[in-house]
Amino acid sequence: MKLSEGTRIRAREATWSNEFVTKLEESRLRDEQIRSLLALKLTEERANRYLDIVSAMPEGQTGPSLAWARPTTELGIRAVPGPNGLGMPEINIRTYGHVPDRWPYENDTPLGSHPTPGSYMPGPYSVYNKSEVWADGVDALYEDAIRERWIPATDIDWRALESQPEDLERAICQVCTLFAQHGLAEQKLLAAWEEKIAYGFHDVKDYLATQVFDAGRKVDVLRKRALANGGSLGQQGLGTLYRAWFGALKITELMVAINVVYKTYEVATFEKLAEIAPLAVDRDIFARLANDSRRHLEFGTRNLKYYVQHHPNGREYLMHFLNRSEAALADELMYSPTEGASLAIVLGGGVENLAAGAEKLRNHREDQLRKYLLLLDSVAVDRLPNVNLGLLGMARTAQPA
Amino acid sequence: MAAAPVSNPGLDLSWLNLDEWGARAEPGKRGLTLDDLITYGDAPIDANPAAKIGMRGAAPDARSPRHRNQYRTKADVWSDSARLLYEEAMQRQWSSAVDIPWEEVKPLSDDLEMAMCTLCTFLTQVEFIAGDLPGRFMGTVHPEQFETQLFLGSQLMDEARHEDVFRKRALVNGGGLVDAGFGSSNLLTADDFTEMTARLHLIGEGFVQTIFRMGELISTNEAEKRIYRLAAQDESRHLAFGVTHLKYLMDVEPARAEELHHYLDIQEGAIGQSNGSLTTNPATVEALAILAGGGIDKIDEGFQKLMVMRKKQINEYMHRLEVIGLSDRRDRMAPSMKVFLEPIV
Repeated sequence: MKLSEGTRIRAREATWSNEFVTKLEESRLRDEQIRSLLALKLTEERANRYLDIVSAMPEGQTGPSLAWARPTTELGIRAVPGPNGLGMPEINIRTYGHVPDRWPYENDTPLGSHPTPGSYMPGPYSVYNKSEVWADGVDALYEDAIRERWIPATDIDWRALESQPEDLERAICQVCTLFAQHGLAEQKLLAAWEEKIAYGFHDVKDYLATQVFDAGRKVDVLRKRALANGGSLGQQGLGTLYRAWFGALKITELMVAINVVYKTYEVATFEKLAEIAPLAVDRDIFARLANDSRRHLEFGTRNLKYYVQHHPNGREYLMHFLNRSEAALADELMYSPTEGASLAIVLGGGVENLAAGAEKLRNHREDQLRKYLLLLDSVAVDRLPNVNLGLLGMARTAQPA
Repeated sequence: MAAAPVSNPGLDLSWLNLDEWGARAEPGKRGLTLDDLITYGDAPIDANPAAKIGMRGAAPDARSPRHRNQYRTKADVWSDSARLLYEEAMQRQWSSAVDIPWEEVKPLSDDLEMAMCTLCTFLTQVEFIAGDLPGRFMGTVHPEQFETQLFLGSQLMDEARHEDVFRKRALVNGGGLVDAGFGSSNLLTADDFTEMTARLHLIGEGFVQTIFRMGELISTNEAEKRIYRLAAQDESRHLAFGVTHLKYLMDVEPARAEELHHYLDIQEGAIGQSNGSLTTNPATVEALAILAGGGIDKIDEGFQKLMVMRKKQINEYMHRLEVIGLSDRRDRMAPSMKVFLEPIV
């Protein structure tokens, strides 16, 4: 075999001797294998040792192909840890940080890599448009989620739970039952969509994995709380809320339904309970949950912002997504009134103060709606004229009343 | 268009009078774990007749809508270790950003660095598959067996972290990702929970775990050793879930043994006949041999070590099959794997 001119030039640049080049030409190695050895910057001595190994192989074998040594990717990357270690933002550099508007590959090729011809088999992905899933800073949110992790079994001071009046205990248990149930549904839906997101959006896939994990932790801690202080699980929630989640036809619709519409309400409720729950342990639990949910809401907000700014039909589609999501949430709150009733008891300080609790609940609903509308305002979506009348009604009148 | 307003159905405090009451789960040495709650309701053999979403033990709402695709039989999804493994996952989460001593990664010769980058590219590909597939099946777990769902959720997190840590390693030392070969998308053809468990958890995770546990052989510094050690710990949980699920299935539905063998036939065949695994994919085999040998000019030594790894993979796999109750697999194993089996002493 005679080396190609290009390989011969590279061998000369590598200071391989003419004698060694002749030995290579007389060997069983192919030109492309020798190019790989050159790409790996082997000295003549090491390349010679390798040649001896291949030469000792049984007749007919040409040794490793070494094709991977000459990739079409960008090399020479040296990511440097930042103040919070080597996070995803630190490695999202050069071609490895450039996320295209439309991901071109149908298999599990990672961002910055390219498929090897002959090894390219399509996978089950269907979300290829960046505008559908992207959120600026999602890489940092992923690292935040890991940094802020906590453990229900050992980070909550369960032994510090104290007895409280039965109506308050039942109300807290009821809240726990409902939001644990929501966590189950949230986890199922987010997990199910993971496999549809193209590999090039790995930052989003990674982030969603943290939210799946968070949702499980929510189920875990709330179930434990309901069963730890003399109470029990309460009434199952109706679950009509999930019609908007299971019924989401696009991933952005799911994100809007869970991470914008629902999460605004969830965050406000968790924050309220972190403030007013009678027991310190409960305040701690809901403060932790609120922190997690704020991250989810942040992702939802940034995703929405990116969507309306970059998807050609984003604004129009969004109106339909919001219509369906708001309607499902309103139906859940109205037809599954245990959440409102249990919150009213906690807000009022007991069943004997139900009227006051109901008024505080109205304030809470108004607060939830205001925060929701302000959030949409912040991404240039004026929702007030079209917001669901059920949600609006709950913010205007004490519900349940 | 906003939805039409719905009349206020009024105040309902009936839930205040539910009979279930008086649960006082007590934390043990490991805190308040899911096992500590079992006094107040274990997963039943058969799930509720209705496929609904609600917490096990909550008073049902008869109006609650149904959901398709939920398994009703515990054997389809259960592992007696799901609770324990979930709690262990919670305790053993780690951060690739700060728990890996990245400063220990020092410049390497190009053959070693590129071999490491080739391995990392492959692992970055397959780790997501190992998350996407359980994600598909989490929705099929009935809430009565929600502990399985929670465990799978922890696996999604683990696999995301593995995707991220191998990507970080590839991008931290002057290399980069290489061109992507076959990953393990073949696993995504699994159409049943138990099929997923047999092919992904038992075989896929099992084989990767063996490599990770032998990470000392292919590491060039303390950072890589730590990566393999921590990842192996995670994979051990996933593998344990697979083994204990399949064992539970064999204990309660032994008639499904042949079905299980069929799944194993599929996956063993895939491993023996395609480029879809760590130790049979040409690129990763070459990379592993270079890393194990300590350089391309010692690749022959690396291949010998790889054979040791391969043998270990197969024999550990066989041991797990025995634990599950499938000792007869020894005679039915794919020939390309069977040759590595050690004889019964």
